[in-house]
Amino acid sequence: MAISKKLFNKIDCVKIENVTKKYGHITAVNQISLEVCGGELLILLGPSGCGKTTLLRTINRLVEFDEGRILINGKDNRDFDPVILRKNIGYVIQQIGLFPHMTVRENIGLVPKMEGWSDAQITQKVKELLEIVSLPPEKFINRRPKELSGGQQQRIGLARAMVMDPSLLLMDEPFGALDPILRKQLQEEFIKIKEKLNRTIIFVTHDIEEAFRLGDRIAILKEGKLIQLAKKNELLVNPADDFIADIVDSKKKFKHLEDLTTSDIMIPLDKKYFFESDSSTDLVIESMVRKDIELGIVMQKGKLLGYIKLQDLYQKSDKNLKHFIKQSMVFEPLDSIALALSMMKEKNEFIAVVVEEKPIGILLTNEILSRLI
Amino acid sequence: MSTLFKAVGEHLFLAYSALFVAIVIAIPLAVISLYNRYLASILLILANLAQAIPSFAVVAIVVPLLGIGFKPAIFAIILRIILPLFKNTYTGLKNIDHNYIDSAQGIGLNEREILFYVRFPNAYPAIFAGVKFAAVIANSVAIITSLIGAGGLGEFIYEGLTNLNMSKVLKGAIPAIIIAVLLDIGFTFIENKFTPEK
Repeated sequence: MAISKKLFNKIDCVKIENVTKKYGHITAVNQISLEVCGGELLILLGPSGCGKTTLLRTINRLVEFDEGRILINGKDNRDFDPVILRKNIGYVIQQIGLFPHMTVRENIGLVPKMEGWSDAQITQKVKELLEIVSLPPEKFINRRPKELSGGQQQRIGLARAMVMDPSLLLMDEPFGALDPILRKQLQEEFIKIKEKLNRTIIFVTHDIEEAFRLGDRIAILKEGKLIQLAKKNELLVNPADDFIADIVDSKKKFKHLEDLTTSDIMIPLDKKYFFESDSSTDLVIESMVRKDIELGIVMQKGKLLGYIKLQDLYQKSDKNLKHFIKQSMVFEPLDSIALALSMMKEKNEFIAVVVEEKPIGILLTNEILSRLI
Repeated sequence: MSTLFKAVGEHLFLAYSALFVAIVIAIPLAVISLYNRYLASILLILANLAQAIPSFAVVAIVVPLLGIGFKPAIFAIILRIILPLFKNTYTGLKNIDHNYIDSAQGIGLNEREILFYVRFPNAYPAIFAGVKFAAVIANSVAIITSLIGAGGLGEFIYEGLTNLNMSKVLKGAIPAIIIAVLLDIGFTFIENKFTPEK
């Protein structure tokens, strides 16, 4: 069994130089040059078909490009064996692609197994990773993908990508298929994971909010070309052209915060998010997994008690749902969004509930908005 | 009675040695075809044609080529079942959700590892369906091949039919039916055991 060596312990720089990829007459990536610094999270942002996924896939050579070169720590990525290169680069896709015939442990541990790790080593590593993505190992290690919700599957996908401790992570719209509230929750969690791990990450998305929330710098692509690469504030202040001005400004509402109310910004609450306080914890877990949500609003006789998070429910076995409830800040639909967000920021709250007699929506702190306050 | 046991033995040996050889050839062929588009398209065309040829004709065509007896009979059975076996295995290995392959490559598995750890496990249902189908055909062709002197249960049936000796016909037909039913139950059992729950 060949043990692959670690190609890079730390990323100093990923340098993409004049990379071009053509598919027949279509130029998917056109002379793109950019530099990713060690430790940063760089976003590749653009509409579908702009070449962002293709560019991402040239880095781990899932796509072989036609011209240019890509240097990782100064070494041409085509000088490496592609399989060994990919073991050194984590890769997460929107569709996740967990193998349905394998358990969580087997999915995460497959590459280590190929590398000849012992069973004990694999189990140890899988447990560590499950902790990081906040899934209690003993509950999840032997499950199969079909027994997991979409959000849980995506967490396993991330754990699998990190199993070889890659110093570089490529992520292709990992949260794109999730429902908006869950997406924001996972983004929030991901920010924490990212700080803990200190990896270099290249992240593809078409969601401007996600880009601003997660990215250190943002590269905006259009029709295979790089239009602008800058820090987020710079994009807002100095957009390179109308296309970018349009993207970053597409939601003009950001400019008129004082006119906006919480009901303009909130995410409306569907019936599926509501739970009764006397339900048993196990049934609530089952129901949340089935509905693929990780956040619930707990009510008692039509009154709001607070919110629950799925991963908290896993932490201890306690039938009484009330013990898991967290108090949430409450706003009225006509409260100003500026006020609401600054109060949330002050209290370091990620979630608030908008109530008009009963809860009607959820406010999640928003990176762009809070920066503009 | 002992002649009956001997005939059952011959029948089983004929059908299953042919099935075994056909599997041993068809699966590697399917794997090679995964990486060779030309071979794949030629074999798939042949497989579709072969499905349309009556078993009786396959047995008949073997005689001018190889003569009569046990070996030509095995050859005829293999000829009849190898292409359906190939087709099922190939499509099972090939038509796997692209995301599995994409993520398998992305996490750094090589082609061989992808084949054994991702493609095969997901193709088991299709492969087993092919083996089951081939076993059923082998079972029935092994009756026909007694016409070309391969022995087995078919001999009772043909002799019974020509002499209008119904008890002899049944002596051949009933074991053949029992074997077919057991075969189906057995393969379904194995299939359930090996098929991953989805």
